[in-house]
Amino acid sequence: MSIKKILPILIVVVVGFLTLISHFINNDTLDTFVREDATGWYNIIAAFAVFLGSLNLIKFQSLKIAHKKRDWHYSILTLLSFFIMIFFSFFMKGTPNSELYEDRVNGHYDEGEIFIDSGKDLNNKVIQDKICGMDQNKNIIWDSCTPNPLWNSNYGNNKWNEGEYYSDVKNGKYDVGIIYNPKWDEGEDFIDIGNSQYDKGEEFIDQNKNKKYDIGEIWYDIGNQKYDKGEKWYDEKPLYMDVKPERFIDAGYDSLGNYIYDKFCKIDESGEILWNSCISNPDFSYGNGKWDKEIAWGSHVSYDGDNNNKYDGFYPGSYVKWIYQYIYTPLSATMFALLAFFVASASYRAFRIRNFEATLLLVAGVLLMLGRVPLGNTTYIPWWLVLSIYVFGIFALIAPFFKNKKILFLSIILSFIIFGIIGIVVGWNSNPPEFLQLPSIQRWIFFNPQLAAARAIKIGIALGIIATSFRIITGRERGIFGD
Amino acid sequence: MLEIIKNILIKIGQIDRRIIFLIVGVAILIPMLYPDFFRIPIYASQTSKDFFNLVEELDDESNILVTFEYGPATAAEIQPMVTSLLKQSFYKKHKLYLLALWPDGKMMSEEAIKYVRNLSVNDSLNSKFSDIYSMVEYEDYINLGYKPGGEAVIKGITKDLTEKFKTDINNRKVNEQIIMNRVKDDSGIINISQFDLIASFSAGSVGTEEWILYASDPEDIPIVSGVTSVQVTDLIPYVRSKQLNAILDGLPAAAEYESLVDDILKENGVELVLYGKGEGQNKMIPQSMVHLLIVLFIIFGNISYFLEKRKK
Repeated sequence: MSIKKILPILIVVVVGFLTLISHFINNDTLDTFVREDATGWYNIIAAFAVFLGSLNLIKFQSLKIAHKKRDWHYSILTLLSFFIMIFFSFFMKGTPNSELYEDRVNGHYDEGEIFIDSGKDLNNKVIQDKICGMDQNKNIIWDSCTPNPLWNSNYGNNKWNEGEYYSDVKNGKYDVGIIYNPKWDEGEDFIDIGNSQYDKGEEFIDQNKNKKYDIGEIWYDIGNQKYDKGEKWYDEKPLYMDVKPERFIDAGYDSLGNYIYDKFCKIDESGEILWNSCISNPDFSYGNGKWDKEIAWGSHVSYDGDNNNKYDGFYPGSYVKWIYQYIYTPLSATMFALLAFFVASASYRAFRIRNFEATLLLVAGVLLMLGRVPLGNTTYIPWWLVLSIYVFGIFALIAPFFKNKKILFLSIILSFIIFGIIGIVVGWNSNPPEFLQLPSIQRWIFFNPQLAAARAIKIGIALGIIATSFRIITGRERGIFGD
Repeated sequence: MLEIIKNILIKIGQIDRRIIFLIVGVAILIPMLYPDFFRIPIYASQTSKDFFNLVEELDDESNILVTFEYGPATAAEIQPMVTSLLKQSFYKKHKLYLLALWPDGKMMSEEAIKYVRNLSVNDSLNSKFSDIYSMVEYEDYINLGYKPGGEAVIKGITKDLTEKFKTDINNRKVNEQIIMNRVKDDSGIINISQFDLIASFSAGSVGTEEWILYASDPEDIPIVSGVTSVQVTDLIPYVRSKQLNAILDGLPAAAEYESLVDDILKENGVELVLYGKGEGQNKMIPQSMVHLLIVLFIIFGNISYFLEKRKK
């Protein structure tokens, strides 16, 4: 056997047994493997499978066109649709770019800006990780900075902290006006220390042996893995007062799809906007007063004209969304709806009282179809009509046993008379029994004979899965390799 | 005379399928175009009432995980169930966590939210549904989007939701959203046992069955489901064994549930302005017509078959 065959079998056997064992052994490593690693691999392999499937589609359909095989014209449509979707999904979003904004030095530290990390050495002396020159205005010349040889990484925290020098540059992002936030925020690092009071989970010396902490008992004040007021934290979002928001050009689509700006501005030779030259556009009424960022790749697939909270004016939406909404959705719905037409036609021709099984299927089908819709209610289908379905159904089944047709017809009529009289005497007109109400019959069929059949099928499937899985993980099932 | 009738009935049995298609088309089209002319009262079945009551009896501000495993093909049946659940949930102030295990599910979830948000209310202010009931993203609901992997994703969610859904549909970190704090355990992990209910809307596999097998049953969380009519037979065993707490089966159940929800909103002073009777209830009229038509076809088909057989 070649390595090409042995290797996949080996992978299947090992991974199969590991997965199986993980259900019976309480082992964290195995559990993590099944829950995270294996499922991660599954996703990666699935992604490759989609890629290979796409290539296969191109190859198969192209060959069909090249050799002009039967119905090759449809292959052109398939390929065309495929490439259109690829183009609008990966190369052309059809969503607006981000609105223009004034990127300026904002007077506060932004993530990614260079900073001088400082700390204290073993002698408690303040030390910095860089040695830099300064200009006449005592501004740091960042290009002159060199690493401080006395610096040890343990001295600092490798994060910018309040008071440390930083290089304030344009950050390539739109900055809003913000205020100082000297608070610990969710996710920020903090030094988890005791809070000088007993907290649930802390160890204590149970002096009175009542298995719970009582005031006065000695306890070990430890951190509780939660930020508590008073603990030191590293502010990752140090925001400042008096930072003015950056200016931007609000824009939006008009009803004709034209992109309109709220300001007219001059630009300099390098194409930079001269913000002080801007004048307002009096005809502008499409903006939302907020700076709008560009829709990311991937997110664009579901953006449509109703995203007004994210975009201004009449936003036409992405091409993929348009195709989804106006081509894919109606086509999918149409395909499914066609079932109604086929079922109607098929029932006309195939639902015939040919034998016992066909009659049973027919009667059950009719009862379900009428019982599942409001028209099947006793208001519309009275008890005597349901009774006639029963009578005709039963006599259809036993008809072959009647040699004399006159007796058959007489029996049917007699049945109607007997049950009719019973119904009138008992008062079925006002209160029909459940077996003469179509919704109740339908429910009974669902929850009894149908349930038994469904359970039998499910048990059969489960046994089949066990058998097939066993064959796969013992390397006996070769169908999965395409043999 | 009798012979002529017999021949006509036999000929009816051999009718061209295109004429059948035409009759079915007309039976569907007319009630859809003029729903107000066809007034069929909707009687809620016990299964639909069970679904409604389960959501209704949850404490206010409960956390519901709503999963979307269907696409546009089956949206006609399932979407009215979802929109009704959203209406009932927002009215009950439940917090909703939407996710999709089918690629189309993400679109369906967005459509459902949009539909409910823009529903008009019959009042002097021309209010929308979202003006009456709070529908603030990240406070009242979050849309986690689509994740491929099927059963693997469900299994992953049972341990840690953020492992599988790191960002939501707006590319925001799921873990940092306020609404997620409601479903974090003591160690800050979001797992499925923190939810009060799973509502799975599915049209196949991966769907409700997998949610029962890998999430609700092992973690002992109530689950309700909305499925297509053809799928319900597979799920009835779980209903009977109480592994599935309630089920909406197909369009009839969607219409019934919708009528229950619209009624309770009306009782609370919020009457919705609907085209016809409402999305699900409108669709029930053509479906009733077609069911009746098919039964008539079967009857005529059999009469024709019987007469033809005798003739031979």
